[in-house]
Amino acid sequence: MIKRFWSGLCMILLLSGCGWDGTATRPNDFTRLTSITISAVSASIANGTSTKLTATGHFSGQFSRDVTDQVVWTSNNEGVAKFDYTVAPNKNRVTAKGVGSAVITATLDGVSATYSLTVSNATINTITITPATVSVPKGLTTQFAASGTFSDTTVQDLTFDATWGPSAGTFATVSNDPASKGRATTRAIGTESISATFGAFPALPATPATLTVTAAVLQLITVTPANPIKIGITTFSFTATGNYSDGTTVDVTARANWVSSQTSVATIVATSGSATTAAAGTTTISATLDGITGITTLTQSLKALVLTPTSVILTATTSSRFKVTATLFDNTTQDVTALSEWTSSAVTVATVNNSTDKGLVSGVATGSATITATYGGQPVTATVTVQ
Amino acid sequence: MNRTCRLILTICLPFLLCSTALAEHAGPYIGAFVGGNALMDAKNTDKLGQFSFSFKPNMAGSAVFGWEFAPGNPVGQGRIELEYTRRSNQLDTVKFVEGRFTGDGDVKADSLLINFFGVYPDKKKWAPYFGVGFGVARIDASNLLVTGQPLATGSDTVMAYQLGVGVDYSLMKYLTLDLGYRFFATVRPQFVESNGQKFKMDYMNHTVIFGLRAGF
Repeated sequence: MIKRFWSGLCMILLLSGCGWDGTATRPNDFTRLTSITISAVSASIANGTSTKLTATGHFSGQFSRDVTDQVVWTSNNEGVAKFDYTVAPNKNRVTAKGVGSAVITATLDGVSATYSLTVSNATINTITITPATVSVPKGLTTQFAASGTFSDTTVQDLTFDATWGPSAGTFATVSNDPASKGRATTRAIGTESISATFGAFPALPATPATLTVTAAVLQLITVTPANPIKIGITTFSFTATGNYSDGTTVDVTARANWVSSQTSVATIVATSGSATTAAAGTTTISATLDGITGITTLTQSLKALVLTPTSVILTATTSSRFKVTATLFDNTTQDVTALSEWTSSAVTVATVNNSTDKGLVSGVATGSATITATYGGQPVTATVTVQ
Repeated sequence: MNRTCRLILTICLPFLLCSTALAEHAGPYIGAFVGGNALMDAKNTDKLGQFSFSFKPNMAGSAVFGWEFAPGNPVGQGRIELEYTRRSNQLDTVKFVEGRFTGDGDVKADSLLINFFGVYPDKKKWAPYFGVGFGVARIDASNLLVTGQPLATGSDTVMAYQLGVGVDYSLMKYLTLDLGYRFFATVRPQFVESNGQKFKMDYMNHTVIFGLRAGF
């Protein structure tokens, strides 16, 4: 009894623990927002360009948080600076419309902050695209950036403000969508010239960049069949299907390197994916090509699975009871009739009970039917002839 | 001698006059307990994620009414009782993604449990016991604040359970000192945040109590 007392005390102490010590994932939206700070890359931008502003909320001196997407952005002089977009990712982008000054305001929960923005009359001198040269596999995308040097020696990011091309190139296209300005999508193997222009007529062109589209790369390998369960000593083949960056799929079975993690359970031919089971257990089958690996598991659970009788002749008014016997690797047997799933290929000829009295086959009408019992994912069959 | 000292002496003096005895009482009893409780850091969950409360330890008080089984009975040595306990804890800090912030307000728990205790009936003055209890608890979150701003309020009645161990010290045939520890927990109560969102809170509590049981 005294041991039970101490056992009880220890159990309580173990159960009680010290309380939750996990990581909080909920933001604090209770502490009051007391001020906002607005920042930008530069307080002065050239006419015709744009820039993004950032709003940082300060909560009662306790913490700060980026509230850029939550604030309402306004300009007191939309003839100088205007917010042209109302949704992310450009909700906080202000576009210079005319030379002068504007006061930008960010407001959230009754708290406001202002920022003075100046639009200059500087003109573009040069525009440069980066990277100047790049190679990208077919099917993938890459981001180009444009940078402009102005007459007042300032340098501004013009990626969003430039007009990109080609919009329908043979080998690649470049987006002018506000959400993806300057993003190139590859189309075919070859070399494409990437252009960017900025400014009013005549627009200043940049020295074109070169995008070389190379062959698609392997991104994923799928091994089939997926997670098979086998019975007994058997040899069968796996298939490896490669998914490439251009959306194509290729059978890479013969090119992949095949490995079985537990060779005591199953071995596999490294160059063909042909597997032979050996003993009960589970092994991981992997196929690797070009640094990409696909995996699946192979389970060997039984030595044999037998359905008896293998065939029977019935009349329309008679029944016969079938039985499924599983043999384990220690050579013990187990009746798994009630644990199997039963089906008939022709229920108009013969039916099989798959509920309260599994394995009971009843004749219905003249003909032949195949009775299938499936255990552990493995089917076994027998033939029923109704005369 | 001040009034407090006289009061303490009045309560304690009779103990000096008691001679220890083996616990032989069987039948009904009542009891009163006081002690301290520590409410464990609580994980809270709402639609926006998880956050936690930390509480300050505080006092606890209990009253019990039960039945003590006679030694040698077929059920075994022990007792069954109805227990009312009041626990109260002040919110100390609240932890969000941004960090830990000052909290305020109280969480009170009024529980009504049926306890089953087994006693080790060694023929000595001290008799250890352990057991379990089941019942209900009303958890009340009074004006919880974080950084001075309203966080939540409300109350919820939930199922409760406890595990208990302790020792009895028999003063007289009908009077027993009881020093015990209780691990008390409930199904997660639900409260409403100041913004209208609902959240669920862990409630798990360590309580140490000291009191008297008197049979009659």
